[in-house]
Amino acid sequence: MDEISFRIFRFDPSRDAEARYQLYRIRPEPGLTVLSALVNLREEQDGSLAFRASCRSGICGSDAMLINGRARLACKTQVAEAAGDGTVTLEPLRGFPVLKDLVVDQSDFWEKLVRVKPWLIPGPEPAPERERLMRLPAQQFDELSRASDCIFCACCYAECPMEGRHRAYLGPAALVKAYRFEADPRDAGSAERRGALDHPDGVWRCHHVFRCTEACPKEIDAAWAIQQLQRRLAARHLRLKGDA
Amino acid sequence: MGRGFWPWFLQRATAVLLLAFLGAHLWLEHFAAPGRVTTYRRVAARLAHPAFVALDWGLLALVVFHGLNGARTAVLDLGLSPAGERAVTWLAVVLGVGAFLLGVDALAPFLGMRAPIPW
Amino acid sequence: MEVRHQVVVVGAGLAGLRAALAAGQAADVAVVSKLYPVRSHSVAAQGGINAAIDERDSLESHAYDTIKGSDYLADQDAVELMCEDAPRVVYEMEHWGTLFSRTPEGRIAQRSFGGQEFPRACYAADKTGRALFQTLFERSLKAGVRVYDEWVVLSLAVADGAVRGLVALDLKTGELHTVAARAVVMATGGLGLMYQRTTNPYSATGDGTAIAYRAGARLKDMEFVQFHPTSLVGTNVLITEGARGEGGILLNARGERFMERYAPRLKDVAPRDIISRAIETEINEGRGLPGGYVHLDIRPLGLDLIRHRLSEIYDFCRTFAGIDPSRELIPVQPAQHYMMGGISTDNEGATSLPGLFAAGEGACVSVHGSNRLGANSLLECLCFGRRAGQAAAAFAARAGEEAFPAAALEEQRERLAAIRKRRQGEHHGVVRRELRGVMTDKVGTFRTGEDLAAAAAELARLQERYRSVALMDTGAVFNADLAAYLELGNSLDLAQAVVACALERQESRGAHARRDFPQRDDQRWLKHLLCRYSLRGPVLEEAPVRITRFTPKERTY
Ligand SMILES: Cc1cc2nc3c(=O)[nH]c(=O)nc-3n(C[C@H](O)[C@H](O)[C@H](O)COP(=O)(O)OP(=O)(O)OC[C@H]3O[C@@H](n4cnc5c(N)ncnc54)[C@H](O)[C@@H]3O)c2cc1C
Ligand code: HEM
Ligand code: FES
Repeated sequence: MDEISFRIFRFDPSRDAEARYQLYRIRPEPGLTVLSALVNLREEQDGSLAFRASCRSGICGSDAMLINGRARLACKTQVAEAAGDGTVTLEPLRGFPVLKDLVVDQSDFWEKLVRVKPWLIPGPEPAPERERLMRLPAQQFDELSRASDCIFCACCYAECPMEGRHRAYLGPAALVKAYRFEADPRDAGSAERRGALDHPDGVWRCHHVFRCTEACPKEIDAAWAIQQLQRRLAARHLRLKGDA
Repeated sequence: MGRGFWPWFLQRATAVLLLAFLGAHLWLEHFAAPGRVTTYRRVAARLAHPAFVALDWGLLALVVFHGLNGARTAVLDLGLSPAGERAVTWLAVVLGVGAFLLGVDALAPFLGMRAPIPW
Repeated sequence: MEVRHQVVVVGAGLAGLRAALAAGQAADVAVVSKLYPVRSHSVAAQGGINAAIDERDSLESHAYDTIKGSDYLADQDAVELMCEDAPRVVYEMEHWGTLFSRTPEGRIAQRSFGGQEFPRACYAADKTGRALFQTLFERSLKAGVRVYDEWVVLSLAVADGAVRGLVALDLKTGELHTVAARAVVMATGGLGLMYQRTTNPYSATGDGTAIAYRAGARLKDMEFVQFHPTSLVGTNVLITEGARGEGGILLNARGERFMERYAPRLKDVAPRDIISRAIETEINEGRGLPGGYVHLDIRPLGLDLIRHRLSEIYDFCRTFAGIDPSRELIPVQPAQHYMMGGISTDNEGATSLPGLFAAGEGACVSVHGSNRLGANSLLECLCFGRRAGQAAAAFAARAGEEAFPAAALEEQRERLAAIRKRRQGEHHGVVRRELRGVMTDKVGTFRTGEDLAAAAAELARLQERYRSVALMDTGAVFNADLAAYLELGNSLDLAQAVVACALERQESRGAHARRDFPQRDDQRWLKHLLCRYSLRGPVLEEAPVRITRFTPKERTY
């Protein structure tokens, strides 16, 4: 392939008054991912370029960024595919404060996660000495297993129009996490999670734009999971009015 | 707890009812009496019947609620202060009640006219 | 910033978080990690975690397989302890919420793994590490464990021969912080980045192991580097052994199932060292595919099984190789995968340095000896992570509150100031690339004295060049260039330890295969090599292997 351009968002708060875009030129080999290209850039052309990365296989969730405007993992994006017109534009994830270049501050994201009590809350019966038996129909187990696939990359947050406008909204990742436990037959924590979920900034903020589902690099149907939570809560409201 | 549910639920409930009312409305206006042209006289005559007025008032109430609640939701999604949110909600209530009363007022005079159902 | 905790854990992977949860039961504990916890490489583990939980299986069998797999170099008391603890570990994780795959009866499902006589790897599809790690992470959120994330630990503070805490660089601000502690647990994971071909992440630079080494702790078994037989050609992303455990087979260029010749009984699920050497042999003898690889065939498993139990593999093949493994062959080759060696510890995680504990891949209790069996590492992290955490808390309870030695901070401040000031010099990226090349070419699956000596000389030259490299970024905020420079220093020190030990051990055992000494030599070499840091290079010592009831025999599969 011919040379292509990388147009990269640059901003170092300790030095720059405002952000700018910098152009780099690279000659990609077949199979080159955007992440490998960034690593090469950093080692060969510009060591001051900041981005996060670790596993390079789409499992650790470090390297989410906007690639040509869409939130994706750099390690799972082929340069050849992204460089349709010869240019790849890289920017930090939308909706998060920029720390430097492509690195954003995700503190807010982690705090929201904690609000849904993302841990198994077992019922009162004591756990058996061995494992709890778990017999779920294959499809239900699959759904549960999918929902537990989240790698916290925050692509869904960057793509969610509600999250973009409404800072306090729990957002898709935290809600998917909540669903993962709500749908787990071993969990009995619905009442404890209800305060966070059954709230204008909880499940009710979602308007089913499905951008989270589209953006998820692990193919989790986040919007569907949120709908499941809405349905569960709606059923509870309509049947048990007044127990709020 | 539960704040957020009712507006969400009613938006959907009104949407479903809107569909039903809209169906009824279209049916009565255009299909129940095929071939007939809709004239002012015929509409006026029909509106003298409480059932038709109730239908239209109901439709109006639903549209107003659904539209304003939807608009309110869209504005609240921008992220306002609690005081701002309350202001928007009250504004919607005032607008809604106002719009509904206007509609009630507009159709009320027809109710008095005693006339046969025009079909 | 100066903070103080009774116990501080370095690393937020499986071993580190487990240690922190255990220590938190009895002490005030904090975790320092250069990555946000969920970015730790433990999440990448795919295949499984071993535990003899089936009625037809036994602890003895698990222990025997592990010891035989280690080529009899593992310390047998430690292995027995770990295998006994394994069911408790797995049940505990299940109770905490781990979503294991299940049998139709609803029990935890198990699959075959390399070198084991019973299918005892409990798994969660091919994302076992993520499933276990998420559970542990969730527990740590619940317990409110304090984590200082994106702090890169630079050094240990030692005074009067004991650990007093550590110095760390805050990536977000560029500031140096000190963490005073009565006990430190090192759990910083693997060191694979020193190899060009590796399944390890960019962050696997063995930091904690190198820091402990320089602070005076002994390293153990450093010559034993595991090469995984099946990494995807190109990016070297791992294709789990579970793919073969489920029935996948290896084929050479002629389409022959060559493992039948190397391990007639276990064939494609023989231990990793044996399969990696078999693949290299096939390639060297001209039966590999052009470019140096062989094929993994999982087509017979069918799309349904692949998509459910090997879903990540399915995704990797499509994303990174553009192939559909349910219809096409997967091109695979051996790549560095795991470090058997590390900071030498006893069964409670204590090192030779008072107040310093270690666990996980960066430590070496020696349960893996010269070759780790698949699915034993996650187990090791959870079993010994917990023990190290408990021991560190107990140590902290006995130790008094000591002042933090100011010199430790000063030393790091000067080091950073010096490198930031340097205006000229080659970029450290060049040195890193050469290091990775040397290790891959000369310190791989097959080794010779000649290659190793050449590697040692080359590493000495790279160390020399490292002293005068320069940065491209001298800024304060999120200076990844600086972090990479610091990590390279760790890689270089550890690479020297690996090569020194590999040169010294004149025999072939497990993952250490010397062409010039092809036999195992129990007379001379049934012992561990310990490695101590000195400015002139690694100093080696020997330590006996602890044998309980399994007498060394020839290893056949
Ligand atoms: C692709 C792959 C698949 C695997 N599959 C399996 C399997 O199926 N079964 C199995 O048993 N084993 C498997 N393993 C091995 C196993 O996953 C690892 O050995 C194990 O997870 C290591 O855990 P750890 O806690 O020691 O380190 P890690 O999980 O790597 O964590 C290291 C931690 O240390 C921190 N750290 C590092 N340096 C510093 C520093 N300077 N300052 C502060 N913090 C620092 C990091 O931030 C990180 O939190 C696999 C390994 C790989 C690479
Ligand atoms: C048959 C007719 C209609 C149906 C079935 C319908 C259905 C819906 C539904 C399901 C929603 C909720 C969407 C969400 O929150 O995700 C919605 C929102 C909304 N509707 Fe309707 N609607 C109808 C007619 C109308 C009319 C006539 C108006 C205008 C007067 C209107 C204005 C709105 C607005 C402003 C919203 C809010 C948009 C948002 O939430 O972002 N709708 N509608
Ligand atoms: S580097 Fe880990 S997800 Fe991309």
